[in-house]
Amino acid sequence: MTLLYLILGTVFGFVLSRSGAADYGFIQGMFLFTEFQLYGILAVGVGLTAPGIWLIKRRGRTLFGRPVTIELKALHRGNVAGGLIFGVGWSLTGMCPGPILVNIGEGKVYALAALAGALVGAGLLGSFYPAVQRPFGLPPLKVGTGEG
Amino acid sequence: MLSGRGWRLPLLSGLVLGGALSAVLGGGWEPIWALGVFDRAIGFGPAGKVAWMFAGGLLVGFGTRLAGGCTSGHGIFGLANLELPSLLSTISFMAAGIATTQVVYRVLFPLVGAP
Repeated sequence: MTLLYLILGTVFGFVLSRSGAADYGFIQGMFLFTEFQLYGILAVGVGLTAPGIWLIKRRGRTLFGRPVTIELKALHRGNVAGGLIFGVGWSLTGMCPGPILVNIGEGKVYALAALAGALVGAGLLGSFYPAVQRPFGLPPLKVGTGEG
Repeated sequence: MLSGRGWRLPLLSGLVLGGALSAVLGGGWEPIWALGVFDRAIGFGPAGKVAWMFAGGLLVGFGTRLAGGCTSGHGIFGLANLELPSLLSTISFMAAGIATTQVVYRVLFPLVGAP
């Protein structure tokens, strides 16, 4: 199974690299409205994922027959606040979380700094979770599960 | 249910491998310091670029955890599953990204050519 996930990750990483989603210039072009390819990539991704999720829900099992449920994401003030903070970071680095790793694989040395920052940033939220949980209405902290 | 540990590390390793494979098939892998439009318009040296990337990375890590997802978790999966938190988060990070890049490349460090 480990090999399967490694292969799935490799395919995802390859597609992110070739689609321009891990390309600093494409990201800036998307946000400057001079380059529209990534809006199309996002739309195609959503359009292909929707029927896939619908099928998985209807079947209720994985391809290997194990039961699967799709948990809904929690609705809270962090959705907007965190999204705004992430958006600034996405623009500055030209990388969202997955493409940080893709950039490192491509040999972009400066992406290692972005990875270090992202790990520290995620750790900071964990450290301050009790303080931000109530104001943002966050669910109890789950470590290592569930979120994408 | 899938346990978290069994698939995360292989999947993330695959993202690095996929990027490397793309570079190898696209003309050869090599360490890259150059960053096109960033170098032309902003032009900080290596230390400045590392600091810039680290600072941006901090916001990416903190923000995605606070939002409960990123471009793939909220933007692709959540929207495809018609989830309201994902719609709110996607609108937020697209808006913040557009605003930030517009300020960086049209106000602070205006571009001469297109990126």
